[in-house]
Amino acid sequence: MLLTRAACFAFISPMSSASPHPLPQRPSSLRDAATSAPPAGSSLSLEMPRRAASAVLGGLARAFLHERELYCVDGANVFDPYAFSQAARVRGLSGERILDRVFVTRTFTIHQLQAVVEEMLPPRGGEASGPVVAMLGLDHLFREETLRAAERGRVLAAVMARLRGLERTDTRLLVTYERPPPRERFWRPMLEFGTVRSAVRPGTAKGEFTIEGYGNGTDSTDIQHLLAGGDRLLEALPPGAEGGAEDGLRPPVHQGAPAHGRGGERSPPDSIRCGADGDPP
Amino acid sequence: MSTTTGWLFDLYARGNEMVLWFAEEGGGRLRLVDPFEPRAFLGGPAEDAAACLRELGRRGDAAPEGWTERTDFWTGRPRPVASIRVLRAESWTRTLPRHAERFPRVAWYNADLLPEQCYCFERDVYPLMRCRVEHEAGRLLSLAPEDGRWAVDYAAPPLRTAELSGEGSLLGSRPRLRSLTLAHEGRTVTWDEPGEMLGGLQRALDELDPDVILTSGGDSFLFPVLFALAERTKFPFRPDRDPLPQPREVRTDGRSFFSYGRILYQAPEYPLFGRWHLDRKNSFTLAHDGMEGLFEVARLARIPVQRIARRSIGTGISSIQLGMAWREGILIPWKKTAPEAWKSARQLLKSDRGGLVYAPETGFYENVVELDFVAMYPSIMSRFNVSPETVNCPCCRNERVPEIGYTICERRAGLVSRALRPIIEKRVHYKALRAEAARTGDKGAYGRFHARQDALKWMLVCCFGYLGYRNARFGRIEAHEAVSAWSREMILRTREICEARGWHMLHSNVDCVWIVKPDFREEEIPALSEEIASETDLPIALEGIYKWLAFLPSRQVPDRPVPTRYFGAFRDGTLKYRGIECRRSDYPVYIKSAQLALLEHAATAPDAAGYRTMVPDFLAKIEEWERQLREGEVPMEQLVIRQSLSQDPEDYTGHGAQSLAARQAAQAGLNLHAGETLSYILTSAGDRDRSRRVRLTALADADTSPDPRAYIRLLRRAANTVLWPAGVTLDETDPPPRKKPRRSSATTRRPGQPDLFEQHHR
Repeated sequence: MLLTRAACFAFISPMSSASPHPLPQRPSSLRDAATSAPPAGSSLSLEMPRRAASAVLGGLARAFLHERELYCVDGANVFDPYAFSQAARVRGLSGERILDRVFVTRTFTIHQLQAVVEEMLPPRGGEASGPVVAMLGLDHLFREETLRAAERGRVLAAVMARLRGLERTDTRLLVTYERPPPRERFWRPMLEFGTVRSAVRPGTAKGEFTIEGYGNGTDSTDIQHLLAGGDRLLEALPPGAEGGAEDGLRPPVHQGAPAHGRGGERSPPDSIRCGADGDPP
Repeated sequence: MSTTTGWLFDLYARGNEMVLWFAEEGGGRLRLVDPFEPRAFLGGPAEDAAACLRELGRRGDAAPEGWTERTDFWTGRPRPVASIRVLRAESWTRTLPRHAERFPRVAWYNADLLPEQCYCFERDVYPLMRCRVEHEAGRLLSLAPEDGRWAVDYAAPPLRTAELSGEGSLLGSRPRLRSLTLAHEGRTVTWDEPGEMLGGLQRALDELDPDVILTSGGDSFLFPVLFALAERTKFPFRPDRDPLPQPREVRTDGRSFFSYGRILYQAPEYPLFGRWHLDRKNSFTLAHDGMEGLFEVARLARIPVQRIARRSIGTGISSIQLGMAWREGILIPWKKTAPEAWKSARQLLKSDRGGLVYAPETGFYENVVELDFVAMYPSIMSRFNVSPETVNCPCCRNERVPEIGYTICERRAGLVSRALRPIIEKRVHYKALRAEAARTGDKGAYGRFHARQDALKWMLVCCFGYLGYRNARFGRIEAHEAVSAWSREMILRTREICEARGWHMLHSNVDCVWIVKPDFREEEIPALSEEIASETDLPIALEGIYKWLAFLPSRQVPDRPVPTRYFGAFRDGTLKYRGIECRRSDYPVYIKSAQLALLEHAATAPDAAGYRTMVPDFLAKIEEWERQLREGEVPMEQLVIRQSLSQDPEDYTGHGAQSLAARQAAQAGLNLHAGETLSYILTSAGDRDRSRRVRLTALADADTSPDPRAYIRLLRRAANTVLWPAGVTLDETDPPPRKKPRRSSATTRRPGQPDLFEQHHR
């Protein structure tokens, strides 16, 4: 059985007032960032518990993988193909097929991370519409206690500079990190990155998490829309793309799946459900 | 000029000299110095390297030697690099990062090795090498080896060893010593007065001049307290043999780190100069394999004994690889930058797997055969040329690695593979010598060869982990994955071969299989092993034939099998058990010993039916042990529970026994860290006042008494494991009501009371 991990649920919450860091005055909307061709300077930054990365990424898969490939730079050894495909399947994608369109490189030192962003991004040979690059657990390797302050500062600056450079290409960026200790200036370049910033919080029950949208101009419903699978995307899919498991883009058929708004309408906050046995509930 | 013969006892850098201590054949100890400046290389953009060279020279940190060529590890091709001589080896670890920060595009090679390692690599010497030494006026002139690093019959130097121990308290902000004892050759001196301790110990050290000071807790407690006391009282305490004063920083905090999913604690280090301080509690190799094992690792790794004693076993295997690279002119990168190539998530799903485990068929069996691959992972690495630079090399395309299709280079022999080969061969040689010693009844030789082969075993065990270890210089995740893929393939082939010959596989676990066949003949097994070895190209050996064997179910989910939870008795009566209570470190000795006593009795049963007839004996023993617990006849030290802290004591929030004990430690001011061991006694497990449920042994007093109900529960749990094959279960939830225990001062074993572990168990 491909999908064996524990169930995960995601709920969308209204905007939170507990924003961990200030946002730009007029960020692009998340929908723009995630469901349409990427405008220059668009990137999404998510503060989240490390372990949520694969499930959240799977939740975003429908939007991210539309005519694109997803490249994950895994700095925290968190990319879990099972959790990813499980979450993606709930969004209506064939878990197995999309695994061929997601590429991963794992980094175990900050120097490897630097080498990846400088030498392997943007990935060559990707599809025409520009790849999505997910930097998972960007902060993790920089938390290593034995690192010298100057060294980690220099490498983080180099990594962030390169990511900012990528923002000027057609690469779409997603950066995830765990909440850093408060008042540590070191993390500022990372915290200030991203035209859209949000946070994923653990929910009250085991396996739940909540994605918050906050800050002026960032619309939580956009995030909801994104998590709901991008109904506009669905409309925009080429004929036959919804045809079933073989095409990798099977639409949701289960009752517990999010109710998608149509024609710009928004459904109430909804959830992503992933059954423990891999089947939609 | 003088000449002497002896052993290279110790070495350490001092300024731009290496200080060498020799244990002379006649018993003398000789201190010599040898001018030495470690060599390093730098590459990268030429203008950056040139600027860096100028800066190094201007600051006097290193002397440029000019441009040269060395071999790039990844490509195997020559690469131009600038050679430098490090002028201040002692401070180089601090200055190197500063230069690296200033010139971030410069690539550094061979730059962060220990000066002692560099000296050994360059001069081709090693600690404990027997050698002929020429010297003059305290300076080494020449060093000629008289044994080989890979020799198996070398002699260790005769050393004078003293055992230092102390009693004291770690409570409060300032740890204190109540008494200090030095034991040497049967004589023991104890000092009870703080004012006398330092002076007495110093006089004893000057008089006895030991080569080795052995302690248990010297790094975490004894030496920091002694140095702090010396600082406070302005006493010139000099435990070193080196007459020159050595700068030391007194620290009591070590570091906690994760390894294989467990948090471990490494105490601070208090090495001595010119003599060794070895702390059993801060040395894995010393604790497991004694001095013989430690010597073996130090010789092969070319790292001084005191230092390798305090390092993980992986440091040893890593140093062997570094030495090989050094001698062959392969550049050793300072920072690991080679990233993993992109792979699809589907590929990741296939490749990111461990060894293959077939869950056991839960039950109680007779005549089970266990076959084990001999050093499977190192053998795969060695025989199939798995090394970071050979996996997915740019020059070949053969997709040789089963299942995941990675390519293995056909043109180069990998560094890691070549480094492993002689270790595997040496271990085989030691095992043969051990068998010979067993045959002749030479206990000394048996112990020596056993310790040496065991130390090598640990090296081989961790060489696979090191391939995937993020800080391993010669590590690469794809190589790690390739080894696992091969191991899975070999277990599959083994299963097919066994089944083709009519065997049924009950269980397999990464590198071993348990098989059964009705009415098989023992003569069939060598042919089966040979066929498996031939098909897999890996050596496999018969571990043994069990007369009976129990594969136990999960405790939480009784209908679910659990790998590595079994026990059984071989036909020669030897027991083998894994994953049961007597193997657990967090069970009290008394309970573990009780379970083991039941198993030892069971080992006399010839078959499953005989096992079941022993149930009344088991129950009688259990009843007696329960009585001893109820009557308070069990010495307290046998009821101590020792658990490793998975986090710092103040971070515990639950109400389990460990959490309560950890919080008790934090409240009492015990300076414990994550990874350290916590010792406590269950005193009143059901008490409403949670603070009374457990008592730390450090806080135990005359009023502390164990809770018999809690220990009877543990006893029954352990007993139920042994009773499971007979279908008998004792109630673990409702032990008999508590009687007021009598406090016992007994410290010796009573009749019927289980003994500690014995040696013949595997």
